[in-house]
Amino acid sequence: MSTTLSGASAPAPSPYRWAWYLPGLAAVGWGGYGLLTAAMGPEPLKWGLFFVLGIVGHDLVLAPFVVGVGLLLTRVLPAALRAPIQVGLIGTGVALLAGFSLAIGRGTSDDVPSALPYNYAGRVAMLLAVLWVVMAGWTAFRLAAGANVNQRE
Amino acid sequence: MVRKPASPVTPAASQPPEVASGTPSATGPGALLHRRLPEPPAGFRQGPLREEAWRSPLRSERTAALLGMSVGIAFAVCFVTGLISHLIQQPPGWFLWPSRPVNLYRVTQGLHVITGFAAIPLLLAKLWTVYPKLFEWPPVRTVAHAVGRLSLLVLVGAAIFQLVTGVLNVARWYTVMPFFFTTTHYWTAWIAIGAIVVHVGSKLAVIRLGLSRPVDDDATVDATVDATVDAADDAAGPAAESADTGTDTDTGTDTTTETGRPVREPAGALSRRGFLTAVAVTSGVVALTTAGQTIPALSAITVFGQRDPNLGPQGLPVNKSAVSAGVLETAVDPTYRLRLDGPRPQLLSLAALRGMPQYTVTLPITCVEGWSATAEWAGIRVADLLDLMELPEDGEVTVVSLQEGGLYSSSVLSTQHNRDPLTLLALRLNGENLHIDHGYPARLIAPNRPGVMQTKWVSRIEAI
Repeated sequence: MSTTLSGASAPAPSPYRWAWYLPGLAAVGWGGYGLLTAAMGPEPLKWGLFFVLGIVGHDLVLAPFVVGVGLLLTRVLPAALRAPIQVGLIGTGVALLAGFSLAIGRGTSDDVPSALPYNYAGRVAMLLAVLWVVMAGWTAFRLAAGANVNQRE
Repeated sequence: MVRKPASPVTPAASQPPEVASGTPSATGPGALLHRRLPEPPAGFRQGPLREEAWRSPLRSERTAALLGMSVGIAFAVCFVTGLISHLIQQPPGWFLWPSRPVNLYRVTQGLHVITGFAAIPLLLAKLWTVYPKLFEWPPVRTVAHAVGRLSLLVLVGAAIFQLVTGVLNVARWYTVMPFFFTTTHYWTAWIAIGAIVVHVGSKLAVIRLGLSRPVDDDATVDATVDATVDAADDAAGPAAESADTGTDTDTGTDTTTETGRPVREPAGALSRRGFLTAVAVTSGVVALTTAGQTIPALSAITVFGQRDPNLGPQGLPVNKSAVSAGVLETAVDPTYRLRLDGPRPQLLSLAALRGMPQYTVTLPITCVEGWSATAEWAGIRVADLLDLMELPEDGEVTVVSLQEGGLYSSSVLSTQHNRDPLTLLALRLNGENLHIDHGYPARLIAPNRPGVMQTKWVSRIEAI
C-alpha cells in the first residue's frame, strides 16, 4: 500500500495526471535527445557521471549527515537552544554550499580581475557572523522568556 | 500522551492507488505492470527502513507540497528565462527578440541567476522533507512502482545537476565540469522541467491533500485536537519515541501529523511553520546577497554575485579580455580599418569613424551569467553604417570581431536591432576611448541583448 509522508494511505492518483505526464515526458525526451545529439554536448558518460554524483552526494552523503546532526542536536541541546541552532545550521549549510565554489577562487584569472572581485570567504564568514549573532539574540530572548514564565509560575 | 488525528483520512485516501484508480484486470495489458512483486524478508527492514524510523513532525504533506510548489516555481522561472536567453543567442526562424525595453534581458537574466541561487535552500528543504520516501517499505511493490521510483532519480538528479552547474558557472569554475557548460545546462534544463511536470502530475492528489490542510503548528494542533487527547493515549506507547528527532516521551510537545500518525515535537524545536519560515528567509537572504551583481544598490551586501557592477576598466566589468581573445596586437594596429561588406563595400579608418556623426546612449551590458551594469557609450549609429553600405531596410548583418575563432567572435544583428537608434558601433565608454578589454577600437552596443552578442574589437560588418 502506498503511503504519504505522514503514514496514511496515499490518495488515488488524479484522473488529470496524463495531462501532465505527456508534456513532461516530451520535455524529458527532448532534453535527452539534445544531450545525445548536440554538436557541443557532453560526452554522455561524463554527463552521466556528474549526474549520478549529484544524486549520490545528496542521498548518501549530505542528507545522512544532516539527519545525523539533527538527531545529535535534539538529544544534547537544551530546549531553548534547539530552534535557534536549527535555523542557524540551515543558514550555515546553505551559505557554505552556495559560497564554496566562489570562496575557493578556482575561477579567478589574472587577465580578468573584475571577475570574482570579492573576498568571498570573508563575505561568507561575515554573513554567518550576522546569522549567528541573530541566533544568539533569539536564544537570549527565549531564555529570558522561559525565566519569566518560571517566575510567574 | 498522544493526540488524536486533527482530521481523518478521507475515504479515497484510504484506498491504495492500485485499487482506488481501478486495478487493471489480471489479463489486461497493464497487469504485468501492476502485479505485486514478492516482498523482501521482513528481517531486512532495519535502520532507516523501519516503520518508525522517520518521525520528525516537520515532515508532512503540507510541508512537502509548499516546498515543492516553491521549487517548481523557481525552476519554472529559471527554465523560461534560460530558454529566452538561449533563443536570443540561437534564434529559430519564428523567434523575434525586440530591442525594447532596453532592460528586459537584464531583468530576465538577472532573475535567472538570482532565482537559481534562491532555489538552493528550497530544493534542499524539499529533498529533506521527502527523504524518508527513499526508505519506504517494500522498496518495490510493482513494476509500475519501480518505474515511478526510478523516475524520481531523474528528477532529483536533474534538479541537483542544474543548481550545481549553475553555481559553478557563476564561480567560473569550468575545469571541474567535464563538459561544455552552456549546452549541457540548456539540455538538462529540459529534463529537469519535464521531470518536475511529470512529478506534479503523479502527485496532484497528494498535493491537493497537503494544501487543503493547515500547517499544523503548535497553536493549530492545540486548538483542534485537545478534546481527543485522552482517548488517544493508548496509541502512544514506545512508538512516541522518534528515531529521527531523538525525542523521548518525557519532553516535547504532543502533536500529530496531518493524517493522524502520532509524533512528538522536541521541546523548543522548530514547528512546521517555523521550519518553512526559516527556509523562506534563507532563500530570500540568498537572493538578496546574489542580486547585487544585477542591482547596484545591493552590491555592498553581495556574497554570491560574480561581479561588482562598478568594478573594472572604466568602471565596468569585463567578461572576455583582449589577452584571452588574442587581439592585443591587432586591436591597436594603426592600419586598422572597419570593413563594410554590403551592396556598397567600404573601408573606414578609425579617424573616418570618429569623423562621422557621434551619438551618446546609456545602455546596460548584461552578461549571461546574470551580472549587468549601465554605462554611457558614444559612437556611430549602426543604422548610419548600414545606410553607407546601402543595405536595404530589412537587411540583416553579421558583426565580426578581430578575435579569431571562438563561439562569440561574431554575432547576427537582426532588423529589430540594427535599425534601432540606440544601437551603436561604440568608440568611447564613460567619456574615454574604449579600453582594449572593452573592445577598442570599436565594439557593438545594442539595447536588450546578451553581452556575448555585443561583439568587441569589431573588424567587419557583413550583409547576410
